[in-house]
Amino acid sequence: MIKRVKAWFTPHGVFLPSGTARYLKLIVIAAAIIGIIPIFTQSTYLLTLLSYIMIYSMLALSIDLLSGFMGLGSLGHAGFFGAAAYCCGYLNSKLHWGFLPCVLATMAFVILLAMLFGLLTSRTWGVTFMMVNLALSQIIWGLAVKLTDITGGDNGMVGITRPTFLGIDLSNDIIFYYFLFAVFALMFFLVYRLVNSPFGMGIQGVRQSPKRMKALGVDVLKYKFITFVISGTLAGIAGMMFCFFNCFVSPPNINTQASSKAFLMSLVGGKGTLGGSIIGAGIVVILENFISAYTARWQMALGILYVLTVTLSPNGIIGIYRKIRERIKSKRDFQNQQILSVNKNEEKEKR
Amino acid sequence: MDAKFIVLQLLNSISYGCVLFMIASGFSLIFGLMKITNMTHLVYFMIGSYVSYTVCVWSGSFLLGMIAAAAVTSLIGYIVFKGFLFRLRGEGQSQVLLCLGFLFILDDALLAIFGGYPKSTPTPEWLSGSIKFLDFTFPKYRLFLIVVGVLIAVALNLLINKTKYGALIRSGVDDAETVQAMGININHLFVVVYVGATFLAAIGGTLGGPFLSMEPKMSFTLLPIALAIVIIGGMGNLNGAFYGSLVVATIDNFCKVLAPSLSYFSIFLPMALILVFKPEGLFTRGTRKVKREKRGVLKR
Amino acid sequence: MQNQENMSSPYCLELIGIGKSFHGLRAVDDVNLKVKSGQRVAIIGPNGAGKTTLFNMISGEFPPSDGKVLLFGEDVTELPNYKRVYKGLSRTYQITTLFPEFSVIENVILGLEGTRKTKYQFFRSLKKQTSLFAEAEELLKRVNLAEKKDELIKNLSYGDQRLVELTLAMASKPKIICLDEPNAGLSAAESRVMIDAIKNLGPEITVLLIEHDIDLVFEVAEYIMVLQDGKVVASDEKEAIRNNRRVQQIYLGEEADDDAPAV
Repeated sequence: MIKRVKAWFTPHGVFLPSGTARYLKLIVIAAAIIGIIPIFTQSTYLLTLLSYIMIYSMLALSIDLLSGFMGLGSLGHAGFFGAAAYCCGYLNSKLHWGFLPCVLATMAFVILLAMLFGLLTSRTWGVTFMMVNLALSQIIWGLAVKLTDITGGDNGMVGITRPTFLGIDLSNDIIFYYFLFAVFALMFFLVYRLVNSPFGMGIQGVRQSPKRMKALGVDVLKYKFITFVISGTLAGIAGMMFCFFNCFVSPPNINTQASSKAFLMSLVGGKGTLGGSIIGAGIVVILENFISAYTARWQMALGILYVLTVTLSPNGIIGIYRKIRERIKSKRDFQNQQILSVNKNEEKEKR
Repeated sequence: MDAKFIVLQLLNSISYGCVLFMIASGFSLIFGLMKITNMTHLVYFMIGSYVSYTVCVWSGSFLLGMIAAAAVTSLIGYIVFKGFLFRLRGEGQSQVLLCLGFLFILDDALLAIFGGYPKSTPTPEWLSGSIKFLDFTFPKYRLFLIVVGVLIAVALNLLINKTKYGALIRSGVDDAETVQAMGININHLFVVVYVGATFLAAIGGTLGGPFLSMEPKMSFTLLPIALAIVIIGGMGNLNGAFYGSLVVATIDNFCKVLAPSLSYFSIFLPMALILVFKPEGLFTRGTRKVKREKRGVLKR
Repeated sequence: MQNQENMSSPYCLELIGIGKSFHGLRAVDDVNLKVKSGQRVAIIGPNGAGKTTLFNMISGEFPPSDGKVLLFGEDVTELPNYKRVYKGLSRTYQITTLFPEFSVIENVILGLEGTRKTKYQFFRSLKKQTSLFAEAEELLKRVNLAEKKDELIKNLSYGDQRLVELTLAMASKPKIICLDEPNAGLSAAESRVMIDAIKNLGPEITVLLIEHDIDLVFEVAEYIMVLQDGKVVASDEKEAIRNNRRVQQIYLGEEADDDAPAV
């Protein structure tokens, strides 16, 4: 049993997406630390921060599945995130539904929404896809602002309470933290399985060579549609968690800046790697907290972070790490070779 | 009464459409030529209107405000393009993200400098007041906007369709590689079009100043409108941008008056329909894709 | 089912008067071709003659403006390319279209998965499907790439990349394979390997190829079609083409200014 669990978390061979395998150990260690923390500290600030990081890593992961693995950048995922949060919040606060019906109904809603948007974007690729997605997510944002009866408009949606699930009262912060952690771990595990499955390989194939995928008998549009729906649904799950954690949803959570922030998270860590989403979400959430505490210019900082990421390290922190490692390795190889050649020369001289 | 109302609102829509065209034309041309969705464009518009506001209030001259706005904004556009965007050419997604980054930076800078209260440029004296014709009264400034907007549209159309430079831009939109292969310095063309589009956005910002009350974050409200225009009109297509602007402005304007609660969504419904049924845009003649295919074949 | 179709028509591929116009320009005009099962057919002609356009219509990248394409007697004119793969048609591209960040064997496995239902498995690790690996290795052995199976495509030499491209096209077990300039850009030695690989394709596989290398064409093909400006100049058995004066004039005459831009 332990061996099997271990096998899931250790690199096994050629089929892991680039970069993920090597950082898997790191991810496991980080996960363990995150899981243990509440035992040692009662600091609500730290727990809140970690919870946000987990929620946003889920959102970043959903974007990464689409942008890092399939190569379709999305600037509209806060739309799904927000739609799910609002839907869940409405069912919870206004209709007083229980946990399970609330979650199931929200999932169904988000899947339908993702299917609709998937159809609308089906004929666009690349930059156009990004733009159309952005425009579509603006519709959700607009709805959140304008439908004041349902959403509370600019004042946001209030009165959301954490429900009881299987006899566990989620309103306790620490219990909710563990609940969130379980969802977070489950989602990462599932996506990890997904990107290593035949379908997951297929979507990476679409990124690298859509023409060849078609020539191999793959309906690329169908792949794109399925991936889009999965990605939207994952973003929706993150949104639901946000709704239950924050107990408050407002338009700034789902506007263009929120979408862009989430996309930045998937970039900063390193695109196309699962761990990258966690690193990225961690960095951005911590920075936001830190900067917002001192100045109101967080949006400018976000912009600067974008410019820095794009110009200096398009492959994120994992990319930088890898580059440095390669450089050290090649230097070491070079030195080794020199030592070898020196040794050989000495041997020759001796002869 | 009804006819009068419709005529007035139509004139309003056209004048609003003319301002939108000054954003959308550059946005669309940059997309067509360089395959960048230049989201910074909206913030250039806002910079233009804020700078002209400041200079106009300080000096009292509308014209001076316009000149200052154009100069400052073009300079910023040049720096952003030469310093950053240009280095990432060929990487569409990165360029878009860079534009997004600058949108955030510049938008927040505006907020920091000018504060969050809405502002309006004072209308110049010779344009204030209204004109009475039969039993219509219409603000002079709006008429001025329509005249200037149409003049600019015509001038741009002539520039693109009749001059040698315009021919280069058009063939660049169709196939940048071929233009480069012909020995033309396409990078030079890129800079000129980018800065030109920025210039136009600044003029648009100046003209929009007196009747749009400007506030930071307006870039983000305008962004989906600009996107809707280019999606409806077709990307990289000047005529499309013109008709798209008018269509969007008309829909938006009438909805604001007739059904205020729908005003934000009214433009998205046509956009979604066009995405489903004619994703290349309503005003695209449908030849560009074919042309590209043809070139692709000939290259082999 | 396909066998039945096979029996109903003596030809595995028929082109009936197909043509393609791009914005008023006639890229391919009225091409007729009947290919028997197992035949080796070469399509030759100067640059811009419409060879690749013809290939794209055969493989279904885009439909012809007029005319019909029949595969095993079945009308597939409007069928998109990914569906034609299931009918037993497969192709390579002139510009290599591999998955550069994947290893050789991963490429081949994606190729094998392409036409199978298992490609829609979401949570089952590919790694565990050992039979796929064995199959992929078998395919790689045929082109002598088995020992390079774990190398990334981007680190491979161009000649090897072309061989992987061929292997990928073979992965769907096609009955007809279209090769778009398999030999372009290869060194003499690499070219020899490629020619042998093409000749080693089983006799049951029909091969269509576009090629500029006349030696390769006459070594491999049995039947040759010559195109110029989108029109068929000659279409006949190899020997007849070799002795066709018009072909010699047109094709070999054009060869000299091959690099001139075709407009």
